[in-house]
Amino acid sequence: MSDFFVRVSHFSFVQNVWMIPCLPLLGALIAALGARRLRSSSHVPVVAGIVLAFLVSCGALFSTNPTEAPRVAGWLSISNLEVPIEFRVDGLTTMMLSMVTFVSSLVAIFAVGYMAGDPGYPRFFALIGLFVFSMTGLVLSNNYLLTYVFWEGVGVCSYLLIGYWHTRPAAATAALKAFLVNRIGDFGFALAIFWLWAVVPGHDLSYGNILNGSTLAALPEAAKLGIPLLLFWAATAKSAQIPLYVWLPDAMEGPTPVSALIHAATMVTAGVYLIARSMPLIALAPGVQVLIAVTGCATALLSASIALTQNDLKRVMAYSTVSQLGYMFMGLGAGVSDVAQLAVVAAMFHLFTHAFFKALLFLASGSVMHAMGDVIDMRRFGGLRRRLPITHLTFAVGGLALAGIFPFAGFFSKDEILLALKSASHSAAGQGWGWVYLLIYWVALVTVLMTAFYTARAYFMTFWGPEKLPSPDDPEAPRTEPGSGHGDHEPHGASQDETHGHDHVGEESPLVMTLPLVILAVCALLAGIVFGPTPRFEVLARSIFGLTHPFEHHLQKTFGWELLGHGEHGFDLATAGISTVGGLLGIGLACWFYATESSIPGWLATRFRSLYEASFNKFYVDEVYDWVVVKATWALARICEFLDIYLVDQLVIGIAKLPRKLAKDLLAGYQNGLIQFYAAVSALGVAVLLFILLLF
Amino acid sequence: MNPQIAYESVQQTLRILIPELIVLAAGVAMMTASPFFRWPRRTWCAIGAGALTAALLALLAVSGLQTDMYAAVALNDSLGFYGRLVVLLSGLILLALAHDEPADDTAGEFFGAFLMINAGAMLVMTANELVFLFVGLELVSMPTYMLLYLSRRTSTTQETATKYFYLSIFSSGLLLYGLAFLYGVAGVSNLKALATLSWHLPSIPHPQLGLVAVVFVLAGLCFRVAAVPFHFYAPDVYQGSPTVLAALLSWVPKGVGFVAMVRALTAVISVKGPDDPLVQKAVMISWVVAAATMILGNTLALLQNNLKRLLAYSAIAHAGYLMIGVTVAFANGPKSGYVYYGCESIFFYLVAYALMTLGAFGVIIGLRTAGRDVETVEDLAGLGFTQPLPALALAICLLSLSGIPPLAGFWGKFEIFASAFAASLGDNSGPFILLAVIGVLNAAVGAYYYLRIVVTMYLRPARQTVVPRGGWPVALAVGACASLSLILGLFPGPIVRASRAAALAAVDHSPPSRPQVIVRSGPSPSHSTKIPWVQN
Repeated sequence: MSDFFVRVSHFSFVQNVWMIPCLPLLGALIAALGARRLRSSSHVPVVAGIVLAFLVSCGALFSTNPTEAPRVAGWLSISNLEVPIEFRVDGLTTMMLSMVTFVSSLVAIFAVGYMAGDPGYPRFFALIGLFVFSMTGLVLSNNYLLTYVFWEGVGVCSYLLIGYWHTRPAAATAALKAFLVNRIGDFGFALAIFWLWAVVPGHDLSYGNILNGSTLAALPEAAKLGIPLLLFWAATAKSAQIPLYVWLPDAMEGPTPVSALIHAATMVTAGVYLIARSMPLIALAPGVQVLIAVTGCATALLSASIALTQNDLKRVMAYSTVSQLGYMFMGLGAGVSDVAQLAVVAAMFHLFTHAFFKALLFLASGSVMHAMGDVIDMRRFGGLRRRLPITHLTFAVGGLALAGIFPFAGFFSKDEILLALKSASHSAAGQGWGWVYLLIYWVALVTVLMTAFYTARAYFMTFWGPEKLPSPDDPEAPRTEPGSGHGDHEPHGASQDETHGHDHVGEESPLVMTLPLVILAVCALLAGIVFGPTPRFEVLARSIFGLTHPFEHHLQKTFGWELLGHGEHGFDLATAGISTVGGLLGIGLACWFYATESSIPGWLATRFRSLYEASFNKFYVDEVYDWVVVKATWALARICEFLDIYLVDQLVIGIAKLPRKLAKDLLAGYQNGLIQFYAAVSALGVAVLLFILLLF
Repeated sequence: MNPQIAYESVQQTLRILIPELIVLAAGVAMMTASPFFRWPRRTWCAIGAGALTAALLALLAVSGLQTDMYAAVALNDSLGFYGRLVVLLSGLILLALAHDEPADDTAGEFFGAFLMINAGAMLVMTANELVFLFVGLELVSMPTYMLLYLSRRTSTTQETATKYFYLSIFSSGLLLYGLAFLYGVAGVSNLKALATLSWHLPSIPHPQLGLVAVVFVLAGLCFRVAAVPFHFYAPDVYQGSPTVLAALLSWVPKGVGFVAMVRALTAVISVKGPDDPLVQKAVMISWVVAAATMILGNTLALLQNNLKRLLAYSAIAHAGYLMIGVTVAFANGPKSGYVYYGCESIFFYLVAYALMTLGAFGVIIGLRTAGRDVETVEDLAGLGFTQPLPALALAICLLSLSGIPPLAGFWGKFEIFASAFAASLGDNSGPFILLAVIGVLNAAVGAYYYLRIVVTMYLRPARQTVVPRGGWPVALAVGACASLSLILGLFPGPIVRASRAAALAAVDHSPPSRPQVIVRSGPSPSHSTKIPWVQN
């Protein structure tokens, strides 16, 4: 018994970090295997598993150690092939772990209310548990190979959850699209791993071996450029950047909690995590960093301009997510020379705060959708602020955070990214890239205005104006005939397989859904002040944590951190001022346009018809891809099919017939059943062997 | 040798051989008692199982004991320990498969002979001496003749038994001749001493003698493992004898034969290093045998429709894969780096092979159709729906035999091919890579006939009713084989470690610090510290 207490008192969170992925997995297994018995309480094991994982993550958060890499199991050791399962518990990982398990817990609790009554209830929670397992495994892994395994794992969970309502054609198509686009990225990741395997000493793919000074210095020149490029390629698919962002808006066909958890807060940030984790490697290629920043900037601008005109509330949020991920990549791309540490801190901090306010916005959208009988077209409802008071307030908090208004979380993190961009424009001037970063900086500021505008537009269209509930007579109501499901503006309801939520149209959601909203709203309000760079609140932060910018302090415990450049970058009041003005301007415009009935939006849409149409139709990117990629692939497939049938098949069949022919015509004859013959041949065999060997 | 040391050595040897002595004593007692007691076969089988279990316990009890490697005829090193463990466990599986086979009046002799075969196999695992090795091998062969003869008194069985008897005697003659030459090489019959002597000698005095020894010993052992050109008996004998004896023949002589090859040939010859002409010629012989065996076994298996005959050719093909390991083991001497790769892959493959082949035979034993045994592939049509569990077990074993991940057979082939890719003679690794490529191509051919059975089971409609028989012992044995094939495929670690320890023990011939009997803590892979040339 005393032994037990000794063990408890020596309980090391770092050594027991395997529990974080395993607890949700266990919950998922129980939910899946006990589906028949648990039925409507299938959420219990999964929610319990995720919450417990969150508690363990908190423990790990405070015992972070960048150098310790607990080996969970040696899966395989054959000849010179070693495949251990190894985790690393450093600053970056524990930050991600706590964020992922925290948001997952809240989303899972929200889903208890949101998914109630759905026929696939146990399947949903089993998949959520499986997802949390894969996601925590991804950020825990100490090895590119294991990261890749979990990378695929989250991809599969995402595929299954987007296509959760698999009887709906739009959902099935969206799931397939997400899967295929992600495969393109995975291909890049796989190539990066092969290349790494070939060039690193000992073919050891662990972070400890790759992300250290001597290995990085010894890399061949081509690999210094190529591997970061391939890793970024992988990241563009998972984190929805140009040119592979097209799957994320369609992924909103999944249940809203899934959109909040996977397609806003956690999985889509895996690409950002991968780049941040590999920053010592990425920093070897300043050209790739510029590419990352430019891509992020272009994505942010493009998707923000698409979000301006969308009428589907979730779709606005989806494009906003793509845009905010673009900000994170801008931040990472700014990590040239002495800005590297600041850049990673900025990007990861934005990832951190974004997880809260974007999950909040999605869940609030889900709450609206729940109350509106699964209608999500903003033209079909309005003025809901009295009917849904909690949803309204929490949405407002999330929107202000997204718009980057002081003192909400988004203000601090977005400012830090802008600061990193500005610093990079000075630091990279020597290499001739300074003007690029300066341009990106200004584009990012313009995007701030657009972000504020579309966020406020969604807010005002939903919650202000005359009260209006959806009715089937709306001109925007979907035609009910089947087969028209491909339209992008198809609202998410109106199909018979979605049975939940219809009985209490127009009422505020139950406590189990509003409570996570409130908690996330508090986080969206405070996360920036408490964890961020708070020059004006230094006293407050110091009194709580004893230091400023505890987030940065925590990230310093990341493995390989000392390899990143470090410089002094103070708070930039000008940037903060401009971005705040931009944000307020955007909100003001939206208020003017949408808070009350106004003819201005319609006038603008007709005045700038072509621009409006382009934005409304998402700049026809899907159509272009369809022509350039999909049609071309089909044509190639036809050619391959022809070659396969008439050339390869004939060849293969011919070769395949060879062994049989050999056996029948040549060898079978010797198996004649005569013992004398057998003995004679055996003796002859020995004699011939001996003769040949002795002679030569 | 000092009489005192000799006495101690004998004492130690007898002590580590207690498991064999238990099995042997039980076997002799059963044979003697058989005419006087009219017991049902179940009783005799239970006695046999009891003897094997007792031997298992005794083996665990003596696991820490060691003998002097230059004085003793038997070694309880890691190879001896794990080898005997595998023999005893597979013996229990075989016993479960055979529990219903003999008639009541011959059951005593049947199970007695069965126990003797196990004792012989265990002796080979420990053998450290040429004569002792031969005794062990004959202790496997001779009771086998009896089993073949006892089981059924039909003309086919008689023919089968006769065929096996004459060809086996013939091969024993070759083997004995070869062993005599091996003794002649250095004038000692202790295998570790032989290895150490050839390690220290600048060159073997009469390389031709060595070559004759290698050819003849290999020929004698190739009969047991059913390698070309000594494979002819296998299809005829498997088909003509009861299925359980086919299962026994497909595993016990093969395991014994390959361990004997490692003990008496590769561990002794390979120490000369890749520059020695004898090593090069030994590699050449085993290369040819490996390639020919794989190609012949796989291609002829394509034509077979009779299940036992198909599994016979499959057994030949697997002997070919294992011969790749032997080829690598010949080349991987202490002077060439990865000293244990070849042996490790052989041992791992043998364990995987035992599970999958016994499981496949077990399913065939455990099924009956229209009043007769299941014989042809067509008899299994639709089995996936009429008998889902046996069909699943057979499917797992067949997929494992064809080397599909994540089953044990996959890692076996992986180890074999990986060791071949890592091997070289001096700078010349071409032949090994070519051999591995031949092996991979053959595995592809092999997949065809295994998958054909799986397809028949799951995609063809059932023709006649197939009913299970054999009761729980057969079901238990088959279930153990199938589930272990899967578990070892998912977690190959423990068997890899055991194989590595056994391989290190097999190639270890460095003198112990003191000539006295040393007692080690257990069959742990601590040998690596003693071998200066091991590189990781």
